[in-house]
Formats: sequence, structure tokens, C-alpha cells
Amino acid sequence: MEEYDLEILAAKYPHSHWGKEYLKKNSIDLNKIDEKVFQKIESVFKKEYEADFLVDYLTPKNEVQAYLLAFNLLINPKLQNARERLASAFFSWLSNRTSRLLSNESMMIILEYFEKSLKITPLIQEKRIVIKIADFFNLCKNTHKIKLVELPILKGMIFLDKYQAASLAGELTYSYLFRILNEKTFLATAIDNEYFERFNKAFKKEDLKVATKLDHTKYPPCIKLFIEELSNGLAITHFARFTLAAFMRQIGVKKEHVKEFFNKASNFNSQRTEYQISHIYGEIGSRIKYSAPSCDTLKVAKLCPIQYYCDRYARHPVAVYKRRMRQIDRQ
Amino acid sequence: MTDNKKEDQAKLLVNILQEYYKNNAEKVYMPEEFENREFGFSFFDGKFKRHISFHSFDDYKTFLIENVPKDVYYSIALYRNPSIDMQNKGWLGAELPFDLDAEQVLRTSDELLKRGWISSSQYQRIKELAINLIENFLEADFGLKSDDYLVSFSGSRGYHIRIKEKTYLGLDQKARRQIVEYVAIGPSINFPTHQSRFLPFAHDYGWNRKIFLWLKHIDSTAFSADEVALKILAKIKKLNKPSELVITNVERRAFENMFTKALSELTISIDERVTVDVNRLLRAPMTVHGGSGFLVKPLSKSSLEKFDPFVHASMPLNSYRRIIVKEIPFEVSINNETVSPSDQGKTIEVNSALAYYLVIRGGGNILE
Repeated sequence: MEEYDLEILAAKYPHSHWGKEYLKKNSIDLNKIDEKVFQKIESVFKKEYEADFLVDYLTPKNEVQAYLLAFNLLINPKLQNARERLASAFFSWLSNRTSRLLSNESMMIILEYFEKSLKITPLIQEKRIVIKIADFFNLCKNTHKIKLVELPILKGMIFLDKYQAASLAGELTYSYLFRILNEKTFLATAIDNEYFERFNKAFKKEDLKVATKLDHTKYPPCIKLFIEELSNGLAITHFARFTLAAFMRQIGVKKEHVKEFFNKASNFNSQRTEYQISHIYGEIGSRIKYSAPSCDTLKVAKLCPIQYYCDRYARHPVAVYKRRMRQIDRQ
Repeated sequence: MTDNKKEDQAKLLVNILQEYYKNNAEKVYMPEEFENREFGFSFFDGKFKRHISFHSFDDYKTFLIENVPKDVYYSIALYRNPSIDMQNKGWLGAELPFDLDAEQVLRTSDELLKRGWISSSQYQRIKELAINLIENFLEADFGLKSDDYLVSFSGSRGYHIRIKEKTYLGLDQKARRQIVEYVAIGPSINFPTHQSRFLPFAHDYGWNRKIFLWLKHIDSTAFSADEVALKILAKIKKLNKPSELVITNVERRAFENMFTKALSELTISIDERVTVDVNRLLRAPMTVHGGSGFLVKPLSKSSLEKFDPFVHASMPLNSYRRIIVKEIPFEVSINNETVSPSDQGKTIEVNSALAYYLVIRGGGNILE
């Protein structure tokens, strides 16, 4: 590949093998960062996406430097609780950008990205990129966006045209970056440099607060239905009770209040209910704080009263509720 | 029945199981990576023992003969140390299981079925769904071959299919849930409201192909009450591939109904909890299901097509038992002997496999 191409590709995809190749040929100092680069990284972590590129993709040095700095900030062991949230914001932005940019590349570039960056060896058949379903499973662990059910599958292979391939490559990038993050975090040592201190201060996760503002009208339909059935004295299934209690835990409702939902049920048993809620809140037993099941799980269990989904984007009752609450905040 | 009588009947049933294991221990199925599996056993006294492993297959067979468990299970998971507590077992991977249970796959709340009385026609329907799962999902979509999976009759209410192929062993719960969604829920359609024309199938494979082919080959009488649906069907029948289909805004509602109907016909209601559980214990093939007396029978695809539990899953026993027949809902034939509802109140001698089935289902009592 020509030098000029490499620079452009490294700028567009700084996390890729092109980025690595660029680094081999050019030295980058992470202690001397342009203030503009740091501000752009901050904006990505804050989900204030202003542009496709961190700084200016015609300067690959800035792009690669920004990517490396962001990644180094993320792997710092001192970051602790905020890591997942910030990584999700950064990787989501980067993977979306990758999808968008790859869709304008040639088939050969997309193929090379699959092979050398994602370590998947696709085939080309009838002008389509074909990847094994096994490779998809191995890479899709962190992403919730790609649905197997929507993919063009035949005989254990996924058949993709250029645009689908670019889209899938972007999505798999998200998982791929998380995998690298986990590996590197495991090996990293805590570093207190100027950038990390600034970064940590800006993004330190607040302790989980007990919700002060709740709006039951914004609950998703499944939760509303469970509450309605319970208040009418009906006995809902064990899984529905679990979903309701776990949902309430996740949105910050106090344990004591959750019990009140169940006290009208025909089979209410105060002690047993308290025991089970305490379990879900992680106070006894395995100490695991349980989460409510996803919309798809509720659909399989026939507990979702909606034919498709009640929210265009969210696929989890808690996510649906939070999106609705955010909409109120914006208004 | 009083508790004493129940205990007596249980002892008589244990004798039948003992007879089976003594004469047929050689036929018990040995799973791959046998030493890395956790085994579990339930007994007639209600006890359940798990976290057991065996160093040799002979030890396993001896255990069955000596302890005569009511039910035998082994883990779909492989562990470094299968006999210690869950946290420290050292999970190495797990087969991907599918459980087709009568009540769930037939989408019924039939009271008889709940009590275990499953008729030949219901068994036939469950079998068709199992074949559908194998042919249209595991083979057609996931590209699996017959060596990649193990099918077995569960011994009572349906079928188990375990995917043994190495790629699937390392799948986490999220990936397994995606597979459940693929088989049991299917895709959804979201019409963009601002467009007057819409391409419902973005590609020609996977679920799009399934729904398109179903609609292409369905008899138009299925939608005879809906004129718009009939027009869409006529359009589909002329097309070669899903991505060619264009739906207009006027056709939107009718197409949504057709899509939903196709999904309800094509999805298979597998038990999600089983498929996503990476530590599940499933019944061991060629052991007896204590709740029915049928064998948990491993089946090839061709033998599955001809399989009838009443004919092919009965214990091969030469002994006979005298029983008093109680109320039974339909005629039951096992090992070429038949008991019908008209036999109620009669004392008859039947082969031990039939005796076991009737007693455990509450349709008779063995006389000592």
C-alpha cells in the first residue's frame, strides 16, 4: 500500500492495523498533547459528538494520538467504576464512525479491515463478503446492536453486501475494542499523569443514588401491567415478580417500597416476599444485585404485552424507562 | 393412595428399573469428554444428588446398577473439576442445548398433557417441530451437520438437541440468547412512516428467506378474507427473491398481519431457560425417565422421522407384572400390549414397561 493511503487510513481508523503500521513508522509522544486533542476526547466521552473526526483526519498524527491517549486513560486501573460507561461512549462513537467510513471504501479495503483488524478471514462470493457465523459469535460478545435474527444467514455463513459488511465491521469493532480494553486493563499499572487527573476529575462516577425522582407513568408497559395485576389482587408468575423487583432496584427504588407492590397479591407472604426482594437487591445469598431481564427474554416468557417493542431503540425495560425520563429532562 | 401404598408402589417400580439397568447397562450412552461432566441423580425418596463425576465409564454403569436412580442427568458443560462446588468447578465450555417440551412447543395448556398423558398425535406434532428445528434452523441456517448435534427423546414430554460443535461450546449467555431469539421470536418489521413505498426484506437470506418462501408457497385461502393481502400474495408469487418485494403504504397493515402469521407458523417455542443456561444438567441418553418409564433415546435424523415413543422408547424387559387398571384417558400400547380405558377396574398381567408407565402416570397399581 502506498504511503499516502496508509496515512489516510490510519487517520480514519486509528484503532486498526493501519493505525499500528502508522505508529511503527512515526513516533508519537502521549505526554505532549495539543489541548485541542484533549478537548475533543472529552467531548466524545461526554457524548457531545460534534464531528466524524476527533481533530482533523487530514492529520493522522492527531487522530492516532487521540485514540491512544483515550485508550490509555480508559485502561488506568484507578478509573474503576466509570470505565465501562466511558468506554461504551468512546467505542460506540468510534465504531459508528468506522461503519460510516468503511461504507465508502472499496470491497478490498473492507476485506482487509476484517482480516487484519478484526482477525476474521472472510471469503468473497458473488460480490459479497462472506463470514462464518462462528466468527460472528466470537466477536459479537459486547454488542447488543447486531441481531443475529436480522443477518443474512445461510448454511453457517453470513452473506454481506458492501454496506452490510461495513455496518457489521463497525459493530464488531465495538466488541473488538472492549476485548482489547479488558486485556490491557488487566495488564496496566496505575499512572497519575496530568491528563489522567483531569480526566478522572471530569468523569468520576457518582455513587449510585437512591432515586429522588420517579415517575410511574413512564414505566414500560410490562411493568405497568405487573403492577396493575398485583393491585387487582392477581398472582403474577415468579418471573414477572422477579422482573418487577429487579426493575425497581435498577431505577433506584428503596427495597421497603418494592414490597408494597406485592402486598395485595392473592398469594402474598410477607416473609417470603421480603426474603426474595433482599436476594434481588444483593443483600443476602449470593450477594448478586440482579438485573431485570431484557425485552427479548420477556417476550420469550410471554410477559411482554406489546407485539413488537414499546421503544424504537431501547430493548430493556430499564432502558425504556430511562429514555422516557431523559425526554422529560430535556423538555 | 396412602403414603404406605405409595412407598410400596415405588419399591415395585425400583425393581423394574433395576431389572433394566442390570440387563442393559452396556447400552447406556457415554458422552464425549465423560470425565469432565457433572452427573446428577434423583431417587424415589425425593433426594437429589449432584456434583458427582466418574473416572471411568464402568464406574458410572456400576453406580446405576447399585443405586437405581429414578432419573439420571449429566451436565451440558465441561468442567476442570466437575465434582466440586459450582464456583470452583472451572467451566471449560458447554454444549448448546434445545429443549422442545410438549406444553411449550404445542402452545397448549391441556390439563392431561400437564399431567404427563401425551397422546401419539401430540408426540407426532412435537417430533415435526424437532425436525423443523433441525432442518430449517440448525442445518439450513447454522450450517450444522448430523455429527455436530445429538438428538434424544427426553423420555417424557419432548426432545433434547445438544449442539456439540466446538464453535458453540464457548458461547456466553448473550450469544445463546441471540440464538433463542433467532429460533423462538424471529425478526420484527418497522415501517418508516414517512415513506410511501417500503422494501420489507433488506436481503435474501436467513429469516427473510424463510418468511418469503412461506408466503410464496402458502395457499391463498389462508388470507381469503383480506383483499389487500391476496394482492400482496399474488405479487410475491411472481417474485424470485425477497429483496424484490415492494410494499406500499396502503398495503402496510395487511403485510404486517401476513408477517406476524408467518412468524407464528415458523418460530419454534423452545425453552429459553435451558438454552441460555451454561451449567444445565440434561437427561442422560439410554437411561430411564423415572416419570414415564420411557428411555431417553438418542436418535439419528432418519430414526427420528420414524420414531414413536410408545414403540421405540420402551424398556426392553422380558418380565410381566399384574396390575389393577385405574382411569386412563386413552389407549396405551407399549411392547405390543395394549390397555384401554375400558379395562378400568380389571386386574391384568402386562409387560413391566407398560406396567411402569401406567403406575407412574396414576393409571394403575402393581399387585405384589
